[in-house]
Formats: sequence, C-alpha cells, structure tokens
Amino acid sequence: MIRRKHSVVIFLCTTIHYNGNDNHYQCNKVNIVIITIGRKRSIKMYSQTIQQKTLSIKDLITVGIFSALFFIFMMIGSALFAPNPVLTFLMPAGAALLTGPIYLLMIAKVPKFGPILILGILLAIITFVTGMYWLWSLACIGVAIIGELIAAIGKYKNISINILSYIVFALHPMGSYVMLWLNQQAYKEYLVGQGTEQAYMDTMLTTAQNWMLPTMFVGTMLCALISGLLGKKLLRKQFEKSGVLA
Amino acid sequence: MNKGEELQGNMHMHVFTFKLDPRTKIYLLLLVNAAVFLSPSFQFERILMAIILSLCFLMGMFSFSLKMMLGYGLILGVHLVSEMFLSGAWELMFVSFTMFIRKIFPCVVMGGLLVGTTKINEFMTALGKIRISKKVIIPLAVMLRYFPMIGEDWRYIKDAMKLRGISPSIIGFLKNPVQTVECIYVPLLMAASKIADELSAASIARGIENPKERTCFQHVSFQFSDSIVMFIFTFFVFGGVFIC
Repeated sequence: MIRRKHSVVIFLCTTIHYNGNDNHYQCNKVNIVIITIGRKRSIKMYSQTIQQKTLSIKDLITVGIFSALFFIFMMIGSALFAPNPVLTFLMPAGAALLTGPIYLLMIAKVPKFGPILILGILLAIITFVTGMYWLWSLACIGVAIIGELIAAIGKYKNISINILSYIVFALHPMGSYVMLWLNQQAYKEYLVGQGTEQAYMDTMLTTAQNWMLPTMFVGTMLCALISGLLGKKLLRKQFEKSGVLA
Repeated sequence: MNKGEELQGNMHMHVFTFKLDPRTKIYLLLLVNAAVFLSPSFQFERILMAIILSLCFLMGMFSFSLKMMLGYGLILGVHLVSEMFLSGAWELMFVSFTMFIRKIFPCVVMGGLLVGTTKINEFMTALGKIRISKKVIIPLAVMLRYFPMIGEDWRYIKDAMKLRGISPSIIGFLKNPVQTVECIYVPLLMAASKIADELSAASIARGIENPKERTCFQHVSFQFSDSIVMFIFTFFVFGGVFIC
C-alpha cells in the first residue's frame, strides 16, 4: 500500500510533426501531463502544452559550445578533490560550484525544450567514454530530464526556477558514489575478510552511511545554489545589458 | 600534415597494428563496465586488466599501456602496503580509496583506448550508424572541437588580466574574489556566444543541414578482427563470472 499523500506521475508526450521532408522530422509540441493520485484514489489530471519552436542548427551549436565549457569548469572544480582519499567525497560539491553561470546563460540563450537534455546526454557520453562508473552516466540523463521539466515550468524564462533546475542537475556526480552504498554488503564482507575488526567496521560504516550521503547531497545543493546566484548576478550585470541574450 | 602524408601514415599503421570499428570499442566499453560491476573476485579483475592492456598493446598504444600498467601496479602496491602497515580509520580510508580506483581502472583504460585510437569523424560516423539523433551528434562534434579552443581563449584572458593588474591565480582570487570571477567568466562566455554565431553560419554554409546520412573519409565497417575481439571479451566476461 502506498502511504504517501499524493503520488505524482508525470508523463511527457511529444507530438511529432512531419514537415514534408521524409528524412527530417521535428518535434514541435510538448505536452506535460501531471496526474496526481489522492488519498481516496481520486485522480486529478493537469495538462499543459508548451508550444515549442524547434531547435535550430544554431541552437545545437550553442548547446555544444556551452557543454564544452560546462565540462571543463566541472573538471577544474572537481580536480582538487577527486584523486584524494580524504576529500573525494567533496567532489560533487566542487563540481557544482563553478558551472552555474554557464548553465544559466545556456538556458537564457536557448530558451526552448532541449538544451538541458542534450547537455545531460553529452555529459553522459563523455563520462561513459572516459570510463567513469556507469551509474554516473545514467544519473546524468535522469537528472537532465528532471531539470528540463523543472525549467519548462517557468518556460525557461524564470531565473529562480532555472536555478532550481540547476540545483537538481548538479546532483549528477552522486551517481558514482551511490555505488558504495548499493554494494555495501560485498564491501563490508571484503573489508572484514581483510582482517579489520567486525565491530569497528560496523560502527564505521553505519556512521558513514548515516551522515555521509545526506551531507553530500546538502553540500552539493548548497554549492549549486551559490553558483546559481552568482550566475544570476552575472547575467543581470553583464549579459543582459550587452545584448548577448538578444 | 597534408592528405597524402596522412594516408601514408594510416597505411603505415596498418602494417604493425590492427584497427577496430568504433562500434566494437563502444561495445567493449559497455562489456567492461558490466564486468567490473559483476566481478566476482580479485583474480577476475587482474585477468581483465591483463586482457585490456594486451589489447592496448596490440592496437599500438605502447607508452599508454605501459603507463597504465605502472599505475595499476602502484594502486595494488598502495593497497597492500596500507593493509599491512596501517590500522583503524587510516586503513579503512586508504583501502576503500584504492578499491574505488581499482573498480574504475579497467573502464578508464578502455576509455583511453577508445579516445586514443579513434578519430573524431570516425566516431561521429559510427554514432550515426547506430542511429543516434543528429540533435546529439552535432553538439557532440562541436563540443569536441571546442575543447582545445577554450585553452587558447584562457591564455589570452590571462594575459589581459595581467595587463589590468589582476592576478589570475588562487592568491588573486582570495584577495579579490568577485572581480577575478567576473574577469574569467565574462570574456569566456562572451567569446563562446560569439563563436556559436560564427560557427553556425560557417557550418550551414558547409551543408550541415543536409538530411542525408553523413559520409566519412575513413572506412567504417566491421572486420574479421572485430568479431574475434568481441568474441574473446564476451566469452571471458560471461565465462569468468561463473568460473572465477
């Protein structure tokens, strides 16, 4: 039995529209259908159609360039932490700290359905090809879909909602750390087999489990928020005035 | 290097090493990911590494495979030493760190192999052949092309910052954070948006909107060697999971 008050199901339907040329189809309408199931199984349905302009070649190229910047800044942010046994768990936070302005400017330049999803897919391909843990790649895509839907609520124009979508998106490196928590039984058995005391291991792992994961989540979200606010300030101060966004 | 020389270089490579289809390499990467996830024992991991390294060696990445071999040895060494001489929290920390590295190591080597032996246009053609949407392939191509340009831009920005008396180092950042951040982000992002406009004009002029399947100077197709390598890896991963 589900004990939650509401469970929310979101469907994303795309209508595909042929424009005469049979090799070339474009998606031009996105229907977001939200179905909430209440306590007494009362079902309510909200639907919202977002009329889309299709992504042009220029938009795709812009997304590509900003993804490159995103990736480089992410690497710089995490380079300090990743290869260090003590600080490795700070890596998602470090990665989130630098990339906010790029993310926000990318949405501001391409305010249509798609940029976040493409960014997520590109990150997934790069992390996968460079041999990161595969859950990271999956997390990239999952988080990108959620981020895209959140940004779509504000029609990509509302900067606070875009920051919220960035905060969700910034959680993607968590995918590779979840391994330690998923595979914990094997991990524990392995370490105990190596001669570490059982009691010691248990306390250590339970404390790690209890505070580490939430701390990582909160820290990453906090860093993402700071980064997003910095991006908002930069957009207001520099880019809107100079007409780059036009 | 002009076209003729490049062609000769390729033929030269054919004599000593063998080539694989990019799709095979993607498949192997998926397989290695699965293998690391399923890996039943330490023995299995070491054999997996040995197979991957010998594949790197056969494909002509000599210094890379030597470096990776040394790196793997180092990780194993750190693991053993920390197990023997450390205790308590330090042991736990180091052992879990080396375990973490060891888990991702085979995939990193495989990824290095994919990146090091595949040309970008080959990779694009292969992605097109497994029917990945153009909406992903075009940004991916632009992204890979733009990476080296970021370094170039960064060098110019550093010079300009020095001219204005702002230090682009960590010390400068600590002294004057807001200004330093602005001086890095604003020119980089401005340059990026400008290049996006120019590049899209250029690539539309070169026919990127052509809806037909793209062609490639290199021949991308499955060969006999592809099937052998795929067979060996598949056999080892699924056989090894049960035996080891």
